[in-house]
Amino acid sequence: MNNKVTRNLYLFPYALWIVLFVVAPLLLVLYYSFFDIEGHFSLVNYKTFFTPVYLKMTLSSFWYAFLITVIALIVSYPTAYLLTKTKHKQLWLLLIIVPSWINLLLKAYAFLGIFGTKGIANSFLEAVGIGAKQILFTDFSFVFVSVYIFIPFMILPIFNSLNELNPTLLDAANDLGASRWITFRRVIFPLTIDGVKAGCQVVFIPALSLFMLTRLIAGNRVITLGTAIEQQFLVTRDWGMGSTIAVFLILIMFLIISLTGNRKRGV
Amino acid sequence: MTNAIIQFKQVTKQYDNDPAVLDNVSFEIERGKFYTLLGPSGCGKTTILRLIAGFTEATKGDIFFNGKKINDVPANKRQVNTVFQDYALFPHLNVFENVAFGLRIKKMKSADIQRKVKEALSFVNLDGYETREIREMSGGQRQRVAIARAIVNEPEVILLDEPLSALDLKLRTEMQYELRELQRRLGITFIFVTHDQEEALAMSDEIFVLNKGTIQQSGTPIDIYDEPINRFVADFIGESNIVEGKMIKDYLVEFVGGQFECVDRGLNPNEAVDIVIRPEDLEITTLERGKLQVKVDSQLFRGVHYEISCYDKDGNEWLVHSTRKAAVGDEIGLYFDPEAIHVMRFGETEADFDRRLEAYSAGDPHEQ
Repeated sequence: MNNKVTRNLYLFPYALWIVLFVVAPLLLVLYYSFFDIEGHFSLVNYKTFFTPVYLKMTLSSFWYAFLITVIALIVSYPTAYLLTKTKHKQLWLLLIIVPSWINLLLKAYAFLGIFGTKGIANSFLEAVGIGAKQILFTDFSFVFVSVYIFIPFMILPIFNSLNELNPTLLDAANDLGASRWITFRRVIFPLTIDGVKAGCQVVFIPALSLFMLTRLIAGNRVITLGTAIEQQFLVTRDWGMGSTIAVFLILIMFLIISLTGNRKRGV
Repeated sequence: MTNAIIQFKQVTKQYDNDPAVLDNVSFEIERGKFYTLLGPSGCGKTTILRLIAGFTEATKGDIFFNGKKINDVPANKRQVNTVFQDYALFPHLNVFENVAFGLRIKKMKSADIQRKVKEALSFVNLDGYETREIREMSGGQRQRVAIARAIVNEPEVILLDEPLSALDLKLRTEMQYELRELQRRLGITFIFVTHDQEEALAMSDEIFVLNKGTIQQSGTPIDIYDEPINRFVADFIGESNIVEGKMIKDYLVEFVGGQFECVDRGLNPNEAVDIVIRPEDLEITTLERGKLQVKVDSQLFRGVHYEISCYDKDGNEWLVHSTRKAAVGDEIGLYFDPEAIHVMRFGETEADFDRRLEAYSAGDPHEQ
């Protein structure tokens, strides 16, 4: 009895936090989504969302998020694998994680310098003889920088699942006649799929709603759902439409989490 | 010689500048027998297994399989399969797929895989467990799956790396019988690694006793138990009373202040030796009739016998296994036959040791 009271007491700050800063804003977003720009209650925002402009935007958001996730995965998996084989793996892991502690904005500005017309990248291209190119404000630079930012989040869960893998299993596969490739396909990858799923989740979902990078690195050439929300709130001042897009974004996130979620982990 | 399936020729395994894990080891494994590599942890027994399986490479020396040198053959191309200490079953596959793993890699026809896996599972008494997940199986059952996964590939040699160490005593004893029986039915070579001397004695056709990267002694369980080559083997295999002694002349040895008749000969006069007497070869008797006079220090009831610990006047401990009870604090006599005394020379090689023992049986007047 007493125990229950103290436990509830401990839970109180957390619950308050969740209600004030997670549940209430979500409800507010949902509430605002039902008002048009004049402040009248209507479903017009939902109708607008299903017009080609917004559907295309959603699709392009998905496409970029997908691209970023896939490239991050392709880079991260082998990296994580090599990390587990190194002697001081915790140190190397730390070095990879450290950049994620630096503010996103700072990193974006750093890339503005690197990819700029007179940046290091262009100096290198000129030195090689290819000549300076427009790198900033392209799809390439957007995807590149996004991948760079998300890589630590992809590596960490994959590294953990690889690190937990019992090395005797690899001996066993080898013993039963499996080549390195078959061992990877039939043993290593299936046993680390949880880490891959977790990594894809933590990359894909934030990638859907990236907005700062789209402006700074992609020069507003790439418009994702995140950018659209930002524009509706800050530029057009159509809070209703911004909220509607946010509602769809939230729904999509829940959908992705439930689809990629691991049943075993829930138990 | 023609029956040898595996040969090690002066094999050394060394990591960096550490002392060698295996030091210039040579031996032969014959087809269709049950071999045990026995020794304390770190003696190199698992290294031998890993060298045969191909998980590690020899620093020096050659390994032959069916007469062909296999130093450079990768593990997945070798005709051996391993049962691992922690079983190493694939947790994402069910029992059937675990056993079928090797067959699928060989791209065998589905119908053949079905039949073979069923056969292998029935061999280890796991009929009907095909669709079970590994996490639903008990330790003993996992053990059987691991064995089925190895035998289904019909290898010429099966390597078992302390496969029983994770099981409880009763199950372990049961599996000892089963493994031995399985080996007889299959007729393939088993190489079994253990640090448990009872397990080794009970199961093997042939035992290799290892210590510090070298083979100390090899032979049948009876040979090794009855005629240990040195203090290490005598101590490691079974309980032993070991004291220092001196070979006065042929058939006469001196230890703990007395001279005793024995069956050993061919040693240098007054050579320093180690003497082994097994606890079950000591008989409790009266002080006058005993060859040794000792004081009973403690006594344990072991079920089959009493284990009595005694000390002589020089402070040597004498362990006695006897069905007769003694009283703690009593002075008693211990009697033993000349045959019960095993004389071990210091630093004797296995070849010399065998030659000496053979000489005894050829026209030895003391032999019964």
